[in-house]
Amino acid sequence: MVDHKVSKKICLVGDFGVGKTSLVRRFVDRSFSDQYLTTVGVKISRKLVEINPQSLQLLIWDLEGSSKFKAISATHLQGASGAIIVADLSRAETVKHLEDHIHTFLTINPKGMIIVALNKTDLVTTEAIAQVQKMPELNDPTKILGVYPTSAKTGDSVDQIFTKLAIAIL
Amino acid sequence: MDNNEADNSQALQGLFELLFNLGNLDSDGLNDSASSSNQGLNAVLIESEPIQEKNGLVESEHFSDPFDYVDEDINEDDVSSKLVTVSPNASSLELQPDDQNTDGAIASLQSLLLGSDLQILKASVNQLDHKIHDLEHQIYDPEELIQLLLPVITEILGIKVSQASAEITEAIAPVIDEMITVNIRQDQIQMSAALAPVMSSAIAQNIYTSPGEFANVIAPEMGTAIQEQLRINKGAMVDALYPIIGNTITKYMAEAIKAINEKVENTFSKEGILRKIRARLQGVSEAELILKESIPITIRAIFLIHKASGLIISEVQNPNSAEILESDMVAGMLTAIRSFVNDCITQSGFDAELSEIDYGGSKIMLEAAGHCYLAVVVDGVTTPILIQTIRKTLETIVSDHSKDVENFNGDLEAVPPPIKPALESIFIKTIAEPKSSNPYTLVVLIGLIVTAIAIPWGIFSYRQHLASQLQAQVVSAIFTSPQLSVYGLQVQVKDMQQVELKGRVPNTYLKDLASQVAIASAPTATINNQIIAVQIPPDPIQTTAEVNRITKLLNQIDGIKISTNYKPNLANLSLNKITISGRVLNQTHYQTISNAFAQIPGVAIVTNTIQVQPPQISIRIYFAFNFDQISATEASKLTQIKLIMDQYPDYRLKIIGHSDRLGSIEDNRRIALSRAVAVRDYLIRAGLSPERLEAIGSPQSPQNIPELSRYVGFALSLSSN
Repeated sequence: MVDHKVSKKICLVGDFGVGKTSLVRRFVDRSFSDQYLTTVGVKISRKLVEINPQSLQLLIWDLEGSSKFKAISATHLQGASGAIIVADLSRAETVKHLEDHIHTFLTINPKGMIIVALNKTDLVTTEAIAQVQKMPELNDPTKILGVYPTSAKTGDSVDQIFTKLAIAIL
Repeated sequence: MDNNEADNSQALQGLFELLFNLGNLDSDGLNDSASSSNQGLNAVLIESEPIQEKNGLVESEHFSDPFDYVDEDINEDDVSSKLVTVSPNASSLELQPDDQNTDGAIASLQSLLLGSDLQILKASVNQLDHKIHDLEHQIYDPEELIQLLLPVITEILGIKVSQASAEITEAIAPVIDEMITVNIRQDQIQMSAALAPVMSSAIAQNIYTSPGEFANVIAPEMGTAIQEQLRINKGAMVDALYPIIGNTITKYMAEAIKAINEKVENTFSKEGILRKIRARLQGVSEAELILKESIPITIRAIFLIHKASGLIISEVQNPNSAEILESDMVAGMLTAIRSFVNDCITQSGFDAELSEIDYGGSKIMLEAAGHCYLAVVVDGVTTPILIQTIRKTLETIVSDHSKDVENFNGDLEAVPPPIKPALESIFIKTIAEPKSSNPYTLVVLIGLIVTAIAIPWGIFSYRQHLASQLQAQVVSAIFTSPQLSVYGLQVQVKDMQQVELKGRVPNTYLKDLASQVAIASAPTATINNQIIAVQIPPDPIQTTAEVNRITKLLNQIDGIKISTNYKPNLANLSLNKITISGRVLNQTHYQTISNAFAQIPGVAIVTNTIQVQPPQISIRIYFAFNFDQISATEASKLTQIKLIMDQYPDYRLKIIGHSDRLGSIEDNRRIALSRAVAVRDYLIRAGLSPERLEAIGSPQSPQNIPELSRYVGFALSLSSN
C-alpha cells in the first residue's frame, strides 16, 4: 500500500485537441509526443505531489475533450477538488469556450479550484499570449486561481499549474 | 549525371581502343577475318557493359534498352574525330573518303610510293572499309550489337569479376539498392521468387548475429498476424495452441474433477447427505453444488469507493493474491466505467446501476448505496451468501457513517475507524464460510449439533464442578492434617459422592486416620480407602531395646514372671519372632503380655509359651479329733479364702479334707470328706458360688503327727468348664 494520507481528484477540461493529455503526460511521465491521440471517455493517472511537509496524491482525470457534438461528461466531473481548464492558444474558439467549461465545472463542484492553462505557447507569439491573458472573464479571482501560458512540448509552467492546484486543494 | 558523363567518356575511350586495335590489326594483316575483328571489338565493349548497367539503374528506360544510350551519346562526328586522331598512326590508309584534301594527298602518295602495289592496297583498304562499315553497323545498331554480345556476355562478366571483383563491387554498390527497387517495381513476383530461397536463412542469420532484433521488428505485428491467422484458418491455430492451452485447462479440470470425485465418493457420508439436503432446499442440482464447492471462491480485494470522486475510502486486499491491485487506479476507472454506464447505457429516468463486471473466471461485484459503493474483486463462483454479506456490510457502513462518507475529501485519516474492520469481516466471513450456501439449513444444523453437545456437556461440567469442589475439600483436609500431609495421598472423586483415597502410608493407623479425616471434611461422601499400609523396616536395635523394656515392665506386675527371646530376621521382616516364656498367675495377664509384645514395631510373630500358674493357698483349717465342726478361730481363716476367691474369679477352689491315721481308714475317709464339705458349706454361706467349690476327702493321712493331719487344705484350679 502506498504511504499517503490524502488523495484528491482533479480534472482536465477543455475542447478536444487542446493538449490536456499532453499536459498530463508531461507532468506524470515527463514526456511529450507530437502524435495526437484522442482520449476516449476518461484516462486516469496519479501522481504523488510533495507539499512540505505533507504529500498529496493527485488522481488526475483526463477527460475526453468536448466538441460541438459532445459536451463534457458531468458525472466525470463529480467529486473533483479542482480542475485545470485548458485552451489551445493557436485555436481561438478553444479560448472562447474556456468560460463555458469554468461554468460547467463550478456548477457541479461549487467549491472546486480552477486553474486555466493556455497551452501551446510554443506555437504563438508572446503578444498573442498577453492579449488572451488580459481577457476579463479569465481574471475573476473568485473563480480562478490563475491563468498560465503553458507548453506541454517544452514543459513550460506545466509543473507549476499542477503544484499550484495541489496546494490550493489540500 | 556526373556518373553518366564519366561513363560516356569511358565508353568513348573503349571505342577508341577498339579502333586503335583495328588499326593494329590492319597493319598486321588486313586480311584477317571479320570474326577475329569481332572478337576484339567484343572484348573492348565488355568494359563498357557494367557502365551501361549502371545507367540502366539510374534511368529505367536506359536499362530496358541499354544501347539507346550509346546511340544517343556516341555520335558519328565524335567517332570521326577520333578516327582523325588515329590516322597519323596509319598514315597510308585512306580512312575517310569524304575528306577531299586527304584524297588528293593519298592519290599523289599512291603514285609516288606504291605504284603497282597501290591496286592491291586499294583493294585491301576497300575491304577494310567494308569491314569497318560492317563493324560500325554492328556497333551502332543495337539489335546487331546485342546479337554480337549475347553469346559471350556471361563469359566476359565472369572474367572481369574473377580479375577485379572489388572493382565490380565498388562500381555496382551505389546503385544496387535502386536496382533491386526498380526490379521489384517491374516484376515483383520474379524478384520475390529470386529472393525467396535466402529469406529464411537470412532471418536465421540475423537472429544469430543480433538476437532480439528480429523479434522487436515483428512484435508489433504479432497480434495482427495471429488475428489474421485465426481469420484464415482457425483450426490450424487451435491445433497449434492446443498443447499449451489444452494442458493448462487439463490441469485445472483435473484438479476440479478430482475434487468432484472426492465429493461424489462422499455421497453417503455426512457431508454428502447434507449436500443433498442443501440442494433440495435451494432448488439447485447437487452437481451445481459440487461444482461450487470444487471451485472455491477467493476474494482478492474489497474497495470502498467514494461514488462521486472515485477516491478510495477504505480497502482490504488479500495478502495471498499474486499481485496487489493499484487501488487508486482501479477505483478511479471503476468509477469512470460506472459513470459511463450511467451516462450512456442506462435509459433516462430509469435508475439502474452496474452490478458486476465479469472477466474470465473472475468478477468485480459492485454494490452501491448512498455516497459510496463497494467493489469486491472475486475469483471463482460467487455465492448468494457472499452477496448478502456484502450488502449487509454496505448497509451498516452507510447507516453508521453516512455523513463521513458523504463528506469524504480524500483524507484517509478522516475515515471512521470501524469501516476497515467491517470490510475485513467480509473477508473473514468468506474464508470461514463453509462451502454451504444456505444459511438457514446451516444455522439449524449447527444449532442442533450445538444443542446436542451443549446439554450433556453442561451437565457433565456441572458435575465436574461439584466433584472438583468435593475433591478440593478432601485434599485440603488431608494435606492440612499434620500426620498425613507428608505422604502425598491422592484424592479422587468418583461418581459424585464416592471419594477414593490412594497412596501409601507406613501403617494402618495412618490409613485409618486418612479415612477419618476424609469423612470429617466431606460428611456426605462415602470413602473408598485404597491406601496401602506399607511396612517400614524397623530398627532391630530399637526393637530389641523395646522388647527388653516391655519385658522388664511386665515383670514388675504382681503375678507375672516372664522372659523373652527376640531374634530379628533382617531378610524377612514378617518372620521377626518373639518367644515369651514364663509364668503368670492370671489368665488376663497372658493375653495382656501377648498384646504388649505384638504392638512393638518390628515384631511380627509372638509365640507365647507362658503358663498360667494359680496362686498357692497355704491356709489350713484345723479340726479337733474326729470332729468336723469348724472352730471359731479357724473360721476367720475362711474369710481370707473368700477374699482370695474373689480376687481370682476364674479359679475354682478344691477343698480337700484330711484326717489323722488314728482309727479305721473308712472312718478317716468319711471324716476327711465331711470336714471338706463343712468348709464348703461355710464358704457357700459366705457367698461363694457352689459351682466354684469342690469338696473332696483325701484318702490318706498326710503325716504322722495326728494334730497336724486333721485339716482342710485348698487348691486353686482354673475353671474346667
